[in-house]
Amino acid sequence: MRRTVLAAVLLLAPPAFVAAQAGETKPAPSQQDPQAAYDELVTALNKAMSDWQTEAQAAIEKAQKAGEAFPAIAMQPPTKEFISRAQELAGAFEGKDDAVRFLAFIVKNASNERNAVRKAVETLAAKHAGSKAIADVLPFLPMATRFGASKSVMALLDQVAADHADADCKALAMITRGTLRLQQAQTDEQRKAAEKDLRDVAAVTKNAELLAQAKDALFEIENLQVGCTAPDIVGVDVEGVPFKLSDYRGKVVLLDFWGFW
Amino acid sequence: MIPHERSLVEKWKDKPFALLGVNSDGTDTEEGLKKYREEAKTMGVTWRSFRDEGSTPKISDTWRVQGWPTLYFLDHEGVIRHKDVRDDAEMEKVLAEMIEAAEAAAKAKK
Repeated sequence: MRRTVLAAVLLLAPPAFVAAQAGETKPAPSQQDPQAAYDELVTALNKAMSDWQTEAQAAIEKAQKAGEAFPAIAMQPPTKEFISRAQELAGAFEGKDDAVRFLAFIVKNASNERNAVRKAVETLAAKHAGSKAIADVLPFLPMATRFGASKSVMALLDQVAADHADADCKALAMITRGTLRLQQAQTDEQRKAAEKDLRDVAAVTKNAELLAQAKDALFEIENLQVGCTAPDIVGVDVEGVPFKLSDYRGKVVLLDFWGFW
Repeated sequence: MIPHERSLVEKWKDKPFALLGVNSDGTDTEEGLKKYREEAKTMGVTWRSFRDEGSTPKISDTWRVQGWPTLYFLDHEGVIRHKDVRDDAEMEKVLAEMIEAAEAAAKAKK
């Protein structure tokens, strides 16, 4: 499904990609229109990722048939050059709101570029915590914690949640922090801190979408933790026959969210 | 994953144990269902799965599933006892303990 989306993006936006491929002389990064530079970067990355997926898939199938080990290419998406380019562009617009989208690009798209992600989050925390553009990157910050950036992620979320001028930005930071705290929680106290973030959202914003997000995250805290009675599932099986999770009361159930794909 | 699950279903077929899936292969479409049936036959998937799609919100959304597969371990009273135990041996161990508790509870009732 993701591949279809990528293909659609490419069909919609071939000119920028063609220009990039033709190797035209580009103006210095700071002379470029930031939005155009960003769009070009995204288009080029999507194209490279789509090519890589096809190639990696073929390599995996070939290795499986030959009984060989998992091919290295499958673990190496071609993100490196695009992350470097985003770093350059972020540098060219240093300190300005325009830098945020490139720093966000790094957080969203990095695969193995650990240092780049850490630096990007540090820069966001140091220079852009008050920017309106920060909203775009907030939901992606939990991904950055996997690159050893937990500390600056929390520092950024703390700043936005406490001081941002825009109420919805504040609320979004609280939701992200609450969700992240919940994921990392080892103790009841930590779970309480997560819960507080999510409950306090209602005092900050009236935005229906944000309130719904907070409510869903609270549902997870209240119903989906170890020790909670699982919510019932009333549905149909793959053939369309209705049944319920609670039909299995009295039995131990291993509930597996899965797919063949 | 699937071969191990198949072995658990076989091993505990006479025990108070059920493996239930929430399947996200799009079986709400004819094409998706056809593909599912073929794969299930090839892979020996005999256990029942909820269809994830077709309800709003999807079951995986309500359950806040962030990645697949996601595993929940429910005891005989429907209480979540573990989440995402993925190691085969560890999984078998916690399930065996839960099954034992379920049998003890059933016995105590009689």
